[in-house]
Amino acid sequence: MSRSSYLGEFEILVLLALMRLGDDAYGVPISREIEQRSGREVALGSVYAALERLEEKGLVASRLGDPSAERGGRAKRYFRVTESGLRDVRQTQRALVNLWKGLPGLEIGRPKGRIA
Amino acid sequence: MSPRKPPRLATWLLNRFGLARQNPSLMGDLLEEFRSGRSAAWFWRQTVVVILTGLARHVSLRRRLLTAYAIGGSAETAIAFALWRFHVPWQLYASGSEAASALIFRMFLAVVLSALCYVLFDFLKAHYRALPANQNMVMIASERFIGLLGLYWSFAMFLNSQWAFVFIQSWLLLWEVGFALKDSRGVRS
Repeated sequence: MSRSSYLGEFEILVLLALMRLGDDAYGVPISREIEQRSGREVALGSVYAALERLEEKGLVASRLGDPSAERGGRAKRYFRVTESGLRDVRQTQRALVNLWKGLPGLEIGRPKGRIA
Repeated sequence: MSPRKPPRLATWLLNRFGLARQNPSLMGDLLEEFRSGRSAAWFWRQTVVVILTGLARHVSLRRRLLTAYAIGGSAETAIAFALWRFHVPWQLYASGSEAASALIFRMFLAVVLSALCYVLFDFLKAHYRALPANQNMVMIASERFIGLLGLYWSFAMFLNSQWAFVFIQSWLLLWEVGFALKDSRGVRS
């Protein structure tokens, strides 16, 4: 992975939320998904800032939906992960899992324990 | 029943910062969430984050331009402070007598100094955009520095009060910030 394509923690959360939501990924469900899965409140402004960064890197693509009255006549912007986005997520996962491996008390799937 | 309306001041701020126009989908998301039962406090928190992230992004996309303004403004301030410290403007002010001819001389000197600075200022302004980004930065910084110094001299020629000088210096700095914000719209470093 090149230096410029390193993903930040929040960017990974956003990409994973997009992958979970599939075709229905726009601002509101993305922030709800991250809130439900990570247990922390997420600001829509931060989600959009991350999505714009990811779109500039070519890791995410977007399209506009139809405007609706409940949104004050504004259209939804749907996002999806691109091929290179998927590749970067896999590489980040691999790197994190490799770093995790063998760390006492931090093995994936084990309950939290005291570090020996 | 008419739909719930978000806090007016918050929506005014979002419009005032141009964020509603720049990102209508985000505004639609905020409205959708608010109408689904979120509180006014939630809307305010979101507004603050949207404004702060918008400003951070604005600065990050135009960091070279804004750095150039900061360098130009700092250099101008440093020199103006040195002039103030060593009373250079007042020496020039005192160089003539109180006669009408002295006033005309000071006016002439101020106009010539300003004109020279602004000729150089316009020359740099016309040329810097064609240069590579790292040279652009030097050029912008130089043009701001020269332009402000020219304006400063034209004012300083007629002053003999240090407090008036400080007032003008502060006003020029605000003017500089205004220029930086205006120029940075739509420009990416």
